[in-house]
Amino acid sequence: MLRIGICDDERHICSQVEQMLADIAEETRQEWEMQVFSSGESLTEHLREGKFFDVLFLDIELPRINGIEIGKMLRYDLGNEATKIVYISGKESYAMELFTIRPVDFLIKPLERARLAETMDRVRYLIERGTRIFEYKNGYYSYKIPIQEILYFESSGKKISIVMEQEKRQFYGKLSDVEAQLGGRGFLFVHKSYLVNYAHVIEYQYESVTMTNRLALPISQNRRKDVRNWIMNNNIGGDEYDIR
Amino acid sequence: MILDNYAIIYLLSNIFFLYVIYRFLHMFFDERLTSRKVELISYLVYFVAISVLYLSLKTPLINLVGNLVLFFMLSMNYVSTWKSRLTATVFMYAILICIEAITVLGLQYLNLNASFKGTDVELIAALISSKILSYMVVLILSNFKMVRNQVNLSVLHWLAIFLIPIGTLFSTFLLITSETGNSLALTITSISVLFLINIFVFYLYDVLVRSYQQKFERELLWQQNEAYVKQFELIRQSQDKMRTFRHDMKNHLSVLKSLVEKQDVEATLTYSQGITEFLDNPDEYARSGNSELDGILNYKIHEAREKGVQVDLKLTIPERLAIQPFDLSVILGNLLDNAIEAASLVTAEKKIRLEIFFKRNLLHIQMVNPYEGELNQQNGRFGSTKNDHEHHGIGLNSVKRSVEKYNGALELSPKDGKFHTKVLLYNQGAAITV
Repeated sequence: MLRIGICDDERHICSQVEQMLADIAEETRQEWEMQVFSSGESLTEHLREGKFFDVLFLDIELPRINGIEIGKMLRYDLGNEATKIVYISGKESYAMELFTIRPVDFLIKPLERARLAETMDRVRYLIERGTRIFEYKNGYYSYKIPIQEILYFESSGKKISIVMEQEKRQFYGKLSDVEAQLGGRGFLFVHKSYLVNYAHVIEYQYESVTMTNRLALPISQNRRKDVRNWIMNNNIGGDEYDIR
Repeated sequence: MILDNYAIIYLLSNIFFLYVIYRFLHMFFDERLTSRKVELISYLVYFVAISVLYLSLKTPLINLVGNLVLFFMLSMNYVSTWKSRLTATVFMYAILICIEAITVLGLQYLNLNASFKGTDVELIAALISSKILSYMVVLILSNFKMVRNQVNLSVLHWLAIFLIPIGTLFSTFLLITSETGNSLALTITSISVLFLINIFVFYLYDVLVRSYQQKFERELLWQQNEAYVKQFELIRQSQDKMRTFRHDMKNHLSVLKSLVEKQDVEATLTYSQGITEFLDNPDEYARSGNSELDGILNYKIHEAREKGVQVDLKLTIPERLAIQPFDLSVILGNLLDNAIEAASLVTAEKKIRLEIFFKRNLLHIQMVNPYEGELNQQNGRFGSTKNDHEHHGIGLNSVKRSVEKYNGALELSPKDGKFHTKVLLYNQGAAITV
């Protein structure tokens, strides 16, 4: 079940989105729980109290606390990378700040149902990819981590570190085995000792990638062109698609 | 014995000469068409072929023709047009043969053999020094960087350039081979003059290519300017409309109110649709707020419409980008030109799909357009079906250059009867380029 938040100061937009989503859910046999907020304040209050949404539909031009501020709060103050944000706006021009919040999509009013269904397809794909589990063994025990919590794998010698937002775990293994286990989905070799989760990349440069923990990992010289062409051809620009 | 020594020195000096030729060709062409391996093998083939020809036959005419043919074949390793290949081949040989003739004759003039009995010092010295001189000349000529741009010169311009090294080859050949009793000093002077003429014409060739490039860039700037003017006009128009709308707001609202009171749903919808249509500017297709990009897109989409081509645009980008507007104009303008041209010629639906989006510091441009007929695969590149247009080659070259400034990538590929274009740019200030 997906938890979906909708925030717009215009009531009829909220109910329109809610209605369209309810229709799409019925058609695609999904169970979605929707909650509507008519102001930025009420949404941020819920977020601060620890309420989690899988998807947030956010109006950009909200009075007082606007969509950009809510997005920043979610990503930077609360450190939430998992919630997928979809911006809604009456305009087709966007400030650069909006892009740093890494929204999945931008929708323009008046909303179209087909377009919304397309966005939800993508959101579902991304969530499904992120909630898969990575399993590894350390001694006799095996451990499980949801993919979306992993920023990247780093190898040094025979050890592999799993770097997450808050912690780091180690086990013995080979990066190529880890990659094979992940099935080529969601991860990118930028360096012989770094396998990064591109859902956690906040910025691509030709020579490096910056991760959500603000660390810039180098892309090795002989991989730069490959990484670049891979990004171009798989249209991910971050997290959109995988080779399927 | 002497011949053997001589042959060894010839072969050794020829290895160095191979490098000179390599440098020469890389001065003209900067992109390989073949793999590095094939390139290497072709140079080795040249080395063997020319050595055998030279050592076994010793016929100047065969040597001349052999070199020209082999040079031309070496030039097939690189991306270029046949005109540029011919120019490069002939220029290269004219300059090299002048150097060789000058050194050989010059040493003869010094009459070194008189002081060394038994060995042909002159010949050996000529072999070595001509190669060193050639290398120095290549180094100097490498400063002319424009020649490597694949500009399609007009036939007359090209002939004017091309005939000079051809004439030089002809005259030098005559001067060396014929026994007309000219004094040695006179022959040396004539060849030196020819050599200088070639160097200067080479310089002029460089200047000519530059001026073609500049002419093209001027046109591009003019287009960009035109796009800005149109964009300003659009902005002004939409502001006028907003002013009128604000002025009429009360009227509209009272009409709507009365319609709602009458519960005439259909009339209400029609009326509100009318207002929406009034506010939409028919010539404003791109509204990203990035005025330079909107400008060039609106300009090109307008052009496309006039040719009956529909452009389906999806634009999700920030208002400001670190990428220079000039480069965006070069990239989008040229790619759209090609796509519009190809689409306008098809009998099926004339529709281009263009998507531009920004994510995680990357600007993606993805375009799909229909095409019919053969793709122009000359130069190892895809292009439209037209071949009369001198700017066409420059267009794609400029796109490539602009893309490279941002470490970006460009991919053109026909797939399922459609032409796919992909561009990826890192949103960074342009690297400083000369």
